[in-house]
Amino acid sequence: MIDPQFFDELRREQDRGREQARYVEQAQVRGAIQARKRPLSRLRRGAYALASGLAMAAAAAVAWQSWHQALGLSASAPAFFVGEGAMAGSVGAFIAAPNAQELPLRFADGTRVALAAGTSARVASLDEHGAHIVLEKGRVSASVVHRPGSHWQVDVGPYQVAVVGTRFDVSWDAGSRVLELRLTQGSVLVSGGFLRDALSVRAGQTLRAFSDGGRVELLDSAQQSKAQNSPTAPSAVTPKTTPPASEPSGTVSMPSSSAPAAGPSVNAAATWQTLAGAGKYREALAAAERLGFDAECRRASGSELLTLADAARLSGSAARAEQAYSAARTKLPGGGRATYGLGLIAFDHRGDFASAAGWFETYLRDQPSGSLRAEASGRLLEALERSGQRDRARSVAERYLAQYPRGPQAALAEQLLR
Amino acid sequence: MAALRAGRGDAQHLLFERYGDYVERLIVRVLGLDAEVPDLINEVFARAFERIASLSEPSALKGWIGSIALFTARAFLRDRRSRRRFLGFFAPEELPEVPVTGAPAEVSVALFRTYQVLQQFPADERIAFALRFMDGMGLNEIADMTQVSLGTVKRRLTRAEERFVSAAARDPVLRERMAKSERWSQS
Repeated sequence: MIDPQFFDELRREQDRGREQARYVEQAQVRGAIQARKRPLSRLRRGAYALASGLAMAAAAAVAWQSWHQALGLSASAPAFFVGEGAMAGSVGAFIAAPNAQELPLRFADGTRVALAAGTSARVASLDEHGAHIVLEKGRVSASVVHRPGSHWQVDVGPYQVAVVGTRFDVSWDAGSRVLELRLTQGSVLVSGGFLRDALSVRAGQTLRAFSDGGRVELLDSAQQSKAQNSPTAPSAVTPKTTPPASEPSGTVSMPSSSAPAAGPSVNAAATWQTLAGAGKYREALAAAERLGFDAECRRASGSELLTLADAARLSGSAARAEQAYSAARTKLPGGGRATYGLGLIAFDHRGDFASAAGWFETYLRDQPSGSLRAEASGRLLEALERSGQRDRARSVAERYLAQYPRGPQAALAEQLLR
Repeated sequence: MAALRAGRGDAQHLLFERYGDYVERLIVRVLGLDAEVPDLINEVFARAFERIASLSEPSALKGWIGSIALFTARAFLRDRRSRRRFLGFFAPEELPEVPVTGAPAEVSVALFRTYQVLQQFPADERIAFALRFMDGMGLNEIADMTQVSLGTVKRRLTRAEERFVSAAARDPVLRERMAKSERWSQS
């Protein structure tokens, strides 16, 4: 049921975090601190003695502890401050900036969240990973320090902005129900409201979500300054504004789950690939249909067709996916990944396991160094078993176990060979 | 082994040098990126030094210390669950800003959310799930390291998978990643 590939990217990200955190070195440093603080048992002394060469680093850590204690950041003390002084913040309390003055919130990890004049907000929760801030109204400018495992969230009206480490301004106009998010560094993920899926916003981009119109604008900084100087530019805060038909390239105007299907105001030629890249598969397919799916299959390159075929498959349109994968096969050397995609359609959508086995075998034959060989081998094994070709399945099972003894289909292979 | 049993510092140092990263990896897989990891690494080695006499087969050293790491992590999870501790933040002067890894935010957020989901699991199921899917470990190895039968590992994984799929379907970030997954996309 679980797809191990789902975790591959998470594992790589976690390994990057491990490298940055240097936990083993920290263990040595803390071991050295403990060794200096109290008498130890013989065996613990042995464990900590190995870090004795790191006295300088230990001294730095002790200095950190002193600073930490000086600020009163013990388990029972508050961990953020309101204003530039030492006024302790209180989790859950309503915080309002004066009408003519900005009010900073300072967190002990170095993160700063500045409430613009007249803004009100709350720090709803706070833990070792970060804080959950609720912006009631107004605008905040945040500079969030990234640490391994850190996670900050800002609730803005009906939206949630998930933050890893970045700098951004976000505002919520409760009257017109418009979210505006301007990112200067890093990236964030926005969800909630009328957004069906989370939307990634990157450095240099500005996101505007018009709740009443069910419309989203995502502009990069160059386009934004151009748009702001243009008399026909879409307004940042007028929800009824319709983007011009000839939007600058890269400007995305996305239909939402609750909005009507994208009409002629959306420049489909500019957006179906962007939409697919953003995981908006149904919208991407709709955009390609508006342009003429057959024409797109003739016009697009092999790699573009793979994107289109994946979007069609993931939005449940097996016929369109087959059409695009088939077109891609004719444009890619040896058929490329398209052959594997046709196998997935046969297997997952059609339940035609014999045909699926044929496609996976073709992929393995035509792509001797293909990146999906392990997956294709496993799928071939399953397809043969499900189509009743047990002798061939056993033969494939032997090869599979030899090549991928820990692969996801290893258990099935072993079962077939018993 | 004789030097370790005699409590010699150089042998203990060598053990830490050789298996420190391995222990750290196992703990991080189970706990996630957590400020407690360094202390747990220390605890694992302290326990290992205390119990080294019980290890009869030197060739089993790696698996043995891995088991200690997992039992230490399990004890910590159970303890944390019973008393959710508030941990102070690091001071900014001592912990310089770590550059963003370069991965898109959705990967970092998905990783965080995955461990949020795992927080709700019973410790044994969480360990089996983390070793199998976050670490990519084989079933037999998991059984050996957690000192249970293969059948028990399979049962724990089945329950954990059901929990994860159910919880992830309610999370917008994980749900979207599941939709992109070839195997989950149609489920």
